Amino acid sequence: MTDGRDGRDRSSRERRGATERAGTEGDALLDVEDLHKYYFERDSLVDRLLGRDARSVKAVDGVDFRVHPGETLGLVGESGCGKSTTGETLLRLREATDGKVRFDGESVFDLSGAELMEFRKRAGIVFQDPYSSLDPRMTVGELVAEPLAVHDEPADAENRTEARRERVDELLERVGLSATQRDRYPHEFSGGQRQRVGIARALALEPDFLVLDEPVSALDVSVQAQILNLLADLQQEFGLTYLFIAHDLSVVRHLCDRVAVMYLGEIVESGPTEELFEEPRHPYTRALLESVPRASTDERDREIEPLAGDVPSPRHPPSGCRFRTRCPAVIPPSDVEIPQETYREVMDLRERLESGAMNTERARELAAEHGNERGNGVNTNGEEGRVEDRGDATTETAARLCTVLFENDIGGENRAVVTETLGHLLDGERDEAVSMLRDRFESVCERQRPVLQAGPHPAACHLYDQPTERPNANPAERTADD
Amino acid sequence: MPEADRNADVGETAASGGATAAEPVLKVRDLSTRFFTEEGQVNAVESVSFDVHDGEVFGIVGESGSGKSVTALSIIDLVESPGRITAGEVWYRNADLAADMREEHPEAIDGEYVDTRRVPEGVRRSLRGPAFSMIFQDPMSSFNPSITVGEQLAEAVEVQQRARANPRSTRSRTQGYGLGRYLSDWMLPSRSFVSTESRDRAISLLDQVGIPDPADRADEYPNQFSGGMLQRAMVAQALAGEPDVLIADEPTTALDVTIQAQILGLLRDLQDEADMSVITITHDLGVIARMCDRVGVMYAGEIAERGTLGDVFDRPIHPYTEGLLGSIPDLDDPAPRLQPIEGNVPELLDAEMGNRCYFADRCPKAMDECVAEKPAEVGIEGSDEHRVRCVLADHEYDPARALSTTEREREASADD
Ligand code: SF4
Ligand code: SF4
Repeated sequence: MTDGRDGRDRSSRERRGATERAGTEGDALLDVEDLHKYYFERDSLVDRLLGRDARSVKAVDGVDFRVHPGETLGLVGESGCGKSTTGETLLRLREATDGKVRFDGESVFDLSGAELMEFRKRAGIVFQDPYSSLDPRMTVGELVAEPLAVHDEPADAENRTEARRERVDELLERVGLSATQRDRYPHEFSGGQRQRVGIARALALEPDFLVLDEPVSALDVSVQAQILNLLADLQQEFGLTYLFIAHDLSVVRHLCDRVAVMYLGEIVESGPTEELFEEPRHPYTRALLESVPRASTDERDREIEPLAGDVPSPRHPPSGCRFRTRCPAVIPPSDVEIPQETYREVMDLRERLESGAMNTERARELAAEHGNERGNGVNTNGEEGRVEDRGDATTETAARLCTVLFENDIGGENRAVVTETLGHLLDGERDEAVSMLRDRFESVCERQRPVLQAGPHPAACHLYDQPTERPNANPAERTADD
Repeated sequence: MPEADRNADVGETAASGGATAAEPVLKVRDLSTRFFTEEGQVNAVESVSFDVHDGEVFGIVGESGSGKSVTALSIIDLVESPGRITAGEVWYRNADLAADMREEHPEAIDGEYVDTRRVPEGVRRSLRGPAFSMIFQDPMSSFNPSITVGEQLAEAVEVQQRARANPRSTRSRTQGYGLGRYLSDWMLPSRSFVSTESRDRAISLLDQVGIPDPADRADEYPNQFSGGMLQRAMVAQALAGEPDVLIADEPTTALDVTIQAQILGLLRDLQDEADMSVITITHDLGVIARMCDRVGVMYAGEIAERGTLGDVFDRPIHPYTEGLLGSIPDLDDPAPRLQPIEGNVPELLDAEMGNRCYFADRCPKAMDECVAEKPAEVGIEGSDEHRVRCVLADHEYDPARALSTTEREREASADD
């Protein structure tokens, strides 16, 4: 047993040497390619008996990135964007649905046995919540020693218990605790101290790479700064490579060399930190940066245009660009002239029509609320025909409704089409209404999923270089929709 | 700036008589709240004083355990056992109420002000809604999951109407739901008794807080709302009584940053329109900067420093305020290294809170006099309202009197 391990150790040392050499040539330590993680709901036996189709939740949906030796890559996004799932999946703490992860050149998902153990030694994780990630029944010394025990470390020591104890003391001191606190329990520590324990534990096996999953978001700001400084020092001292997962953009800017922004399971933009913060390209990144309230006296007067609406459900992600349901820059068809804000309103109306939030009944109610003297003129028997053929009453109601629904100016042909659409809707012809609006206003952003360009600062958005549009569905687009 | 008001008395009680609209709507004086736990007495709020003016947003910022949320609960009298408000006055300006109460409770009246601490509990409770209302970090705590949002809002509207009509009877199936004290929803029928007018008002409240299709959404249950939408609905609920003072306790902490921007925008708009006063409680200095006119920085149950936003952000005197500002990475200008405050937040056990500055064991400028006695709150350079509880208000840091490490450790030993 011992021989075998020694052998592995040697080969691992050689591999590390190789990494260092390769690293200078720009090779990645971690290379994530087209990573997918889907969860399936309604997948139980009962569901199958009832003939219900399993429904996929696309938590991570085709993510690519690399982390180079010694650097910190920030993975940032709002809750539910898939950033934590990405971190856990690439470490094999969750099973990937698809994709490849290479760590130091080896395919992580193909590792088993001793190689997998070796990978676990070299790649660790620090969790957000120091309260729940530490077993409350173990002392801090035991917690930090546990990874050593699992991996039979230190392997070459004569007296392993003694060596382990020394190592634990060393680690505790290194993360800013005292060796005398070894026999205390987690509940006796403050949040910041507990996170230090979590870090000591992650460092126990001398890893090369750490996933830091929101390591400071549960902490008070004064303590958060201590931990951020500690993480920066440890990286320097041990040449660590970090994947730093966070929602707090200020913290990400402070700590990371490069940043990747996630939205609804995808990376929408990535680039060197400075460049990404100074010149964000993707409309989502811009909105995100704009939304962060600054701690300065000018903040009250800073104009911001908050994004409207909520993040859509990953059960039914929008087609094409996933940000298109909220994007203030969503692209109108080239042959339609329309102010940007008005186009956003048209797209919101389409969304509500298609989801059913806006329907015939609702349209009639709204029309009635705003001038019910004519509300009775609505044609309710759903007969065929163009607006010109409808009763004047319907046309007028539709025109009024258009005015009610739009905050921004809408005129000319655009207004005519919207009014006609609303006429259909008032007449109970939902399908006509839906297709009429789509025909005129369908955006490239909903037809085609934008991709990240090659290069140091790509943005997955049709405003930037995209492969030329194909008439058929983009083959790269996954159609796992239910 | 002259130091004219350096020694002005903060402990002064309400102005006697003739209060005008320029007077604050709320004056909190020497408010103290303690928790009597098995580990001992915890001094969560320690002699806190501040004013809230008409139509302004006053911010209270602090870290966990600073006492900021307990301060809010104390104002609105929602402190639960084993906690108890042990001292202090909460003067609320309301001429009608003052007139009503003057006969029976003269000691609680000063001009147009009523000390809500000294009126009977029923009266105090009736102020929840029309005078003060509160929104919390977790909107789920404010809603009963088994009743539609519209119905709960309509009911809040009716409760408020009843409260106005008869200050002594306020009961609701939903009010204070999260506090779990007043009701057990299974005992109550989940059928609607609300009138059409209340329902209409509920829908218009939902509309007011920016919920699309409010009539349809009113028929949905809380779990059908997204986090941001439920937060809006909670704001609507708090507005039902048209309060003079809205207390928002970490109103956006659980939200994503793009949704936070929406809610902060909403609160600002509402405050503008309704000319309400708002107390915003948060750990986030960015939220303070975005929302507030004036701010108090809390540490260890006390207000360490307060003043206008400019006083506190640009001219801080208290080393804790400085430390807090130095701890946050700046989004627009990342410093190579953060300046954290060393050590941890104290536990506020009475036995460990001596007659000294509570920040001394973490303060980089602690001197001998800081632990000799507790510094008083004094006025300082800046606006008239800039006040600080720190010896540096009086004289500069002198390294010769620096608190030695051993003394500091002795001070801190209780905490660790
Ligand atoms: S692809 Fe279209 S919808 Fe998506 S971010 Fe770019 S402009 Fe907006
Ligand atoms: S009183 Fe002394 S210890 Fe306290 S904050 Fe001021 S300088 Fe620091």
